[in-house]
Amino acid sequence: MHNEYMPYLSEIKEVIKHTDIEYTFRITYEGAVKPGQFFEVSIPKYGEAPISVSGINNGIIDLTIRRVGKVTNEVFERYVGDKLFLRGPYGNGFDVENYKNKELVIVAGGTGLSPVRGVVEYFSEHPQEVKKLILIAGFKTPKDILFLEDFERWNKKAEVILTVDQAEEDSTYQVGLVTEYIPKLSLKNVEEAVAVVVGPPAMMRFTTQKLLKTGFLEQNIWISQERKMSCGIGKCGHCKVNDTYICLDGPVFNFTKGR
Amino acid sequence: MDSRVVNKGQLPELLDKLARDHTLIAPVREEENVTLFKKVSGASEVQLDYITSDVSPKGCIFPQTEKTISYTYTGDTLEMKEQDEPPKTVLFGVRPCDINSILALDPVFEGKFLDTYYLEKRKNTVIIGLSCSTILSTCFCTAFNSGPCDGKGADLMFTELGDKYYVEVNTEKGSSLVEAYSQYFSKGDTDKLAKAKEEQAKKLEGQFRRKVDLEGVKQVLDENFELPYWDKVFKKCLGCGICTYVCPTCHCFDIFDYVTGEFTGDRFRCWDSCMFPDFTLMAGGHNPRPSRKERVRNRFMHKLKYHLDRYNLDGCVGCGRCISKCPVNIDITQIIKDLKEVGQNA
Repeated sequence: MHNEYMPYLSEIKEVIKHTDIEYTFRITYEGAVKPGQFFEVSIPKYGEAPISVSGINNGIIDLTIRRVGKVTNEVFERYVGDKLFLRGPYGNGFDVENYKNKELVIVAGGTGLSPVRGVVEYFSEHPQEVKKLILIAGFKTPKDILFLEDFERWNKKAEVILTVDQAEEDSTYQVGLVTEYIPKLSLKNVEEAVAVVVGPPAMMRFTTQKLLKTGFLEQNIWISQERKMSCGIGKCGHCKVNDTYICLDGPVFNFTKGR
Repeated sequence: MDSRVVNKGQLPELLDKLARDHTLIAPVREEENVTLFKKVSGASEVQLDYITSDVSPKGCIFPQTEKTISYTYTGDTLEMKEQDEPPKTVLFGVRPCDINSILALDPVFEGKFLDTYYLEKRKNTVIIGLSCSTILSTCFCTAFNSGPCDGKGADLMFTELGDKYYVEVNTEKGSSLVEAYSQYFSKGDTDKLAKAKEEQAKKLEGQFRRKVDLEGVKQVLDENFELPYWDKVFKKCLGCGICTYVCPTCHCFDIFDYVTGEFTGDRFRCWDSCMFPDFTLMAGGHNPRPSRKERVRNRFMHKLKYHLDRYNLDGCVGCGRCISKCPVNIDITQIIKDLKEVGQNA
């Protein structure tokens, strides 16, 4: 019987430092993976942590990790050439088919941009597959911004709103919550437009409320839930919400199911 | 269905033989009034007259603490050692409620991803059930389509009748065991004993003091996530987690690493409890189930609704352990009654 709990080895190819506590680790992985899926990342002696995929390239995946716990602390001590251990990918991930030929609005808050970054990449590389692509990305302050180098590239292919909650007076960034931009969006047909919302719980709650108020239909909104996945394969109970295992049935949910 | 007879006088010899050829796990009196399922070396250690064990025998297949991987890690090289294949095991003397609970656990560890640790042990274990002869005041297995002599899920089901055990052979596994130890399993007058068992079961079913009627309860929970009732129930809960520890259907666990040397360590999995605040606490500080009220509600919703929703099997088997062990007398049968009333008054 195949032992799903046995991790395999992956090598760190590049480390990109976004902020003091958020790095992207570019690591080796051969196999199919979708944006929104996650891996159980481990370092022997320190344990495992669930981390979502923030980028997918040939034989390489990106894991954007925030330094907040025992395992992630230890991951931050690792450099190019060092090894990480993986199980996965787990979870359903985003299905880009749901967004094709639609006006697509992606709203991301903070590290919530990581799981959805693959979707932004996909449609900025295939702009003809979507009627319109709007990205609203919010961060606390300018120094919390992730993937800054990507925004310039995305700006050419999509309508990008990069905003921060607060900034110094001389800052060049727009200041405001992501929700403020939603009513001002120029959409041809809001009832057929689709939206993806990923971020902290409060941000997701207010954003979906605002989308609904603006005329988006519930079935056209997708969210990704964050939980403490320990096994990642629907056994250990940590991520269970009602009868749903976020790790198996999610973490991406249509709003009609995921609210 | 095939059946056999074992003479009571010969059971010790059979158990000794089983212990010689297998890992034999059976009820053992640990100290006065404490019975646990443990590995035994022979019949003399087995407590045949036990009523219910203090902790359920699920730990024989899903241990409380289990070393899953041992590794040597130098930074450059990693060697991982998997568990050895579990030994051929006979789990003897399991009560119907606890057998029923293993059936409730199976689909959790099966499914899209197979849990090798559970399933390998499950595969290598022959379950010999033992019908009850005493009904405790906390027992209510009959509420969940089971009963004190129900052999569903057992490979062999033993029922004590006078100086004999009537043995139902329910599965291939059971049948092979009977064949291997055929000198102890006679063909005898099984028809008469089958009848006697039926009568015994009927008599025992009349002795349940707790009348638990689940009709309408799930519907109340289906229709009401928020109920003022939960504001009342959770208040006396201490959050000690004993209910989840003794519960035969609870399956939550945590995975963590334990350092054994400079370059060596073990990965363990241990039972965890949804009654603890850090069960859902994420590294970033957010806790989606932060209050005791939510945790208490979640536990009862899991037992009476969520497990049914997901696996179409009851999440409670009526063993009564959480009732007898709860330090503040939270009683699931009272909760069932109260929820029923909520439904009737709605």
